[in-house]
Amino acid sequence: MVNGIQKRDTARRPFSPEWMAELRQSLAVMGRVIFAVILRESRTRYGDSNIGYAWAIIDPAIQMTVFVGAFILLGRSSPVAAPLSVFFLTGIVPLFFWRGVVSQSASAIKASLGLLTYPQVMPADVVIARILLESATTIIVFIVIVIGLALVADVSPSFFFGDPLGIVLATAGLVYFTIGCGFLSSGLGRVLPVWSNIWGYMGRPIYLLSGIFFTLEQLPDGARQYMAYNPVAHSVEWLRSAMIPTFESHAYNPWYPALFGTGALLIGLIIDRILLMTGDEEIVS
Amino acid sequence: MAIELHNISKTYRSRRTGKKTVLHNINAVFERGHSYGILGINGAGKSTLLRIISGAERPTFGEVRKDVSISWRLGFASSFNSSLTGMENLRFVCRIYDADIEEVSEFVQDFAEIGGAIHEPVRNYSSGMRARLAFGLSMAIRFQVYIIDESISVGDFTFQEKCKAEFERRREEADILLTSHMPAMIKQYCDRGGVVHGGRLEMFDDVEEAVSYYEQITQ
Repeated sequence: MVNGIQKRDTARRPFSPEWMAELRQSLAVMGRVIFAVILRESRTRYGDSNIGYAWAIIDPAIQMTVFVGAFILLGRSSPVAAPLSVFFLTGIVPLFFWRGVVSQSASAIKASLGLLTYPQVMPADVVIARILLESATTIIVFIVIVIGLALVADVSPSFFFGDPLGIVLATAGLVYFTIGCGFLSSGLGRVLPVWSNIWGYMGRPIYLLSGIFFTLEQLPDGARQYMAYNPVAHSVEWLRSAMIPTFESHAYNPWYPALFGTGALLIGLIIDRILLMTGDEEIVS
Repeated sequence: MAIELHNISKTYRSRRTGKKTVLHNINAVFERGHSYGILGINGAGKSTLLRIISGAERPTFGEVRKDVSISWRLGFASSFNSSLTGMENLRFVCRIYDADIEEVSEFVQDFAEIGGAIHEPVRNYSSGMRARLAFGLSMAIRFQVYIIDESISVGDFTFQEKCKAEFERRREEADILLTSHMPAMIKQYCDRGGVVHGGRLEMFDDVEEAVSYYEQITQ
């Protein structure tokens, strides 16, 4: 007997035993689907390229090296009283994670229209799968580069683990903010075909304005005022402040990315609901 | 156990051609234990109806209630990811339908006759190979209702015979929901029938009645 019947939308009285059983059933289906999509996406995420996942490590590592080199050439010192590599890595990795999720979510549905013909595969499952895959990749990339730095450049890993509780909170904040942005991005990608172009144009300014090359703390008040509109900069600053033992920032507001993420998540979920209710999605026939 | 359609409407929107309502307020019940044939001329909305029933597409209004497992359209292969191998696609389908990968792959490899190609990316497959893989897969996963859009078999003549034989075996426990514009085909496989005409679905308890209604409106 096949167990894949999709029953997620059936209306029953909430919290009745049938309702609970149905909820359990649909959560089981959802878990199965997300797991299957993760495995599938993990094979296609980096295309057929032979370097494949190695690129996920090489790319941030090269950028970090270039920035460290540039700062040394310019004779600038690290703004966080820790090695330059620590400063850049703690900015690049969260930014890459956020950016990766938003890009991946923007194309998630268009690239999965074939998948969505299976009734138990919901658009949100694909987005969640992509976010989880990006998270796992980011964690591995981060660990590999930290170990690499310790071996090659003699940078102590303790530079990255200043305040364990703070790191957990800041990471949770970043992940929540990023999930919200991912859902918004996937919703925009579904209703606005130009969204991926717009997002492409936004890439560079966001890169420059998200605090990779500076901390909010060191900015003069006038500049900081404008930078403070960028929730990514808050999230990066928060994470840096928690990770780097020699750096303590008071220039970020943890509630801002959380609030921004909540708004984005709601809009994304509403777009998803509307598209599901009206059935107005391109289909593969 | 049944599939119930409640007030199903489907409107497609297109920037160039505007709105087009393909299905109007369709109500129908497909009971377990009966096989249904849906007749209709080309473009009447048969395929849209099947996609909505199989869950591949959502209606604009209305609801599909089902407590049976329904296959994807038989031989339908565009849900395969072309950069993954046949085997990887097979594993994916097994995972989402909670089917035993071992068992299914054994059956499909034996049935689809694509040999070592199952470990090649699907993009290298001919359309016949894709269809054979999809057909084998839908036979291996035991659905209660099989959805068929026009053609009951795929591939060349010998493979078609094999499809039909396997399909007869599956029919002992499974029902079918078949669309066609050919009354003969419907009569061969189904005991109940319906006609899609002008975006509406007319259901009949006897397939003969459906056929005569269809012949009457297409005269």
